[in-house]
Amino acid sequence: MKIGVIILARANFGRWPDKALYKLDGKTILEQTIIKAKKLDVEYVIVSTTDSIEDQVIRNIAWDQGVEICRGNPDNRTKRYQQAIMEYRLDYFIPLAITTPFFDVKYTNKVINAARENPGNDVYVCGGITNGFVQRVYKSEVTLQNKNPDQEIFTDNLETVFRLHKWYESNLKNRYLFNGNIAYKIEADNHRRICEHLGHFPVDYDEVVKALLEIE
Amino acid sequence: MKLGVIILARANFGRWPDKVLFKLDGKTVLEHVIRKCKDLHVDEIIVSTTIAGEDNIIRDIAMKAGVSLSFGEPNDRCSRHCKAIDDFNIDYYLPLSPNAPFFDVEYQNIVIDCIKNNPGHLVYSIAPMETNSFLVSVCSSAMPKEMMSRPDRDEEFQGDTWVDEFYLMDETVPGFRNRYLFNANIAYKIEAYTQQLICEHLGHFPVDYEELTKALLEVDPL
Repeated sequence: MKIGVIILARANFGRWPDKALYKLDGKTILEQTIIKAKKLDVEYVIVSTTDSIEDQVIRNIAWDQGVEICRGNPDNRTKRYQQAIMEYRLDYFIPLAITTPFFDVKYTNKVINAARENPGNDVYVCGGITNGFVQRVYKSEVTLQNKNPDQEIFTDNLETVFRLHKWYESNLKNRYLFNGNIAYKIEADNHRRICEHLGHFPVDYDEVVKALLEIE
Repeated sequence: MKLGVIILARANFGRWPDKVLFKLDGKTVLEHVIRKCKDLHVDEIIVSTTIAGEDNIIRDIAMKAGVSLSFGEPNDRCSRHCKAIDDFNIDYYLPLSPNAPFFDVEYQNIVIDCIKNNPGHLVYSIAPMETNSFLVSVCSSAMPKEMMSRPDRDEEFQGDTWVDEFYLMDETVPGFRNRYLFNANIAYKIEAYTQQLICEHLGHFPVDYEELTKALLEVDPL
């Protein structure tokens, strides 16, 4: 069974153009994500980007890190996943977002190994409480058959899910429930900053977004 | 068809005992969540807590806000959901967390309204995209009940939400994509700020999850 990590990354794209190049501890989040991805029990780490000149910086980072580069459709994320899957003949893949550079290698490897030991399911996940810390493993076939017109959605038609529950991993619950509350303290601090900035509790979602932009 | 919001809330519980009593703009997060729930298209708003003395404050907040109360097992979230479902004969419910006081009422109502036009599925979500803590999936009451029947069930876990999930795609919800893709990047900017704080606190990128958790405790801002 061939499993690959697919990291979609573009420069100068979207509402936060330099997101992939944002630096943590002197390295871009893309580099930090790749460095951690190399610790996963997978056959390939693939950075999926485009041929455009602006994405040269992404290709250079991937090249320096010695990982695979796949060039695809600039505006369709599902097609880029499909292309990387086909180029590297992946049976399963992990869509790794650069916005979760703190993901948990140890438990993500447990999910990967669960996929290897119990093949055939559409998706493998680690409980329902792990937020962005444990990555999911998806069956390539489901994404390849995806006919959804929405170019962001690659997980249509998932039918079977294999979960690592606490009955498989006795430490899982404490590990993540613990984190859940601690992480909310950090989030609550951001909530407080937003309320202080507005001078009141946000009246609706639009006001939250406006405040997020203003206190950036 | 009866729809309800179920808010699980306890005082003095867990790693951050006063979590639901944390104040934003002079009100507890629980009060903010209840107040926003009143704008949702549901038949019942239920605060699920316990009969323990320490939870008096939770019961007072719920009663003052004029919402329903349900009492259940202190350490079993799944059974508390089932108890609230039984107490109020709920067909579908929103498991709303006091941790997400900024949830999006307008789009949450789009998900709720969808159930009335497309009944029968186990879970209704707005799309398999990252909407973070801004939208919750609406679940059939059958889900936690099925979980309760499992001998090896997890008291935190309410159901296998992936199976039979009805998604509202963006062609049925105009404006959805921009709303949440836009938000995802903005929200990550805020998260990135926290990640930067952690790296600065440690002096390096966290080597593993254990170090990250330790740092989260040490930089605890509250």
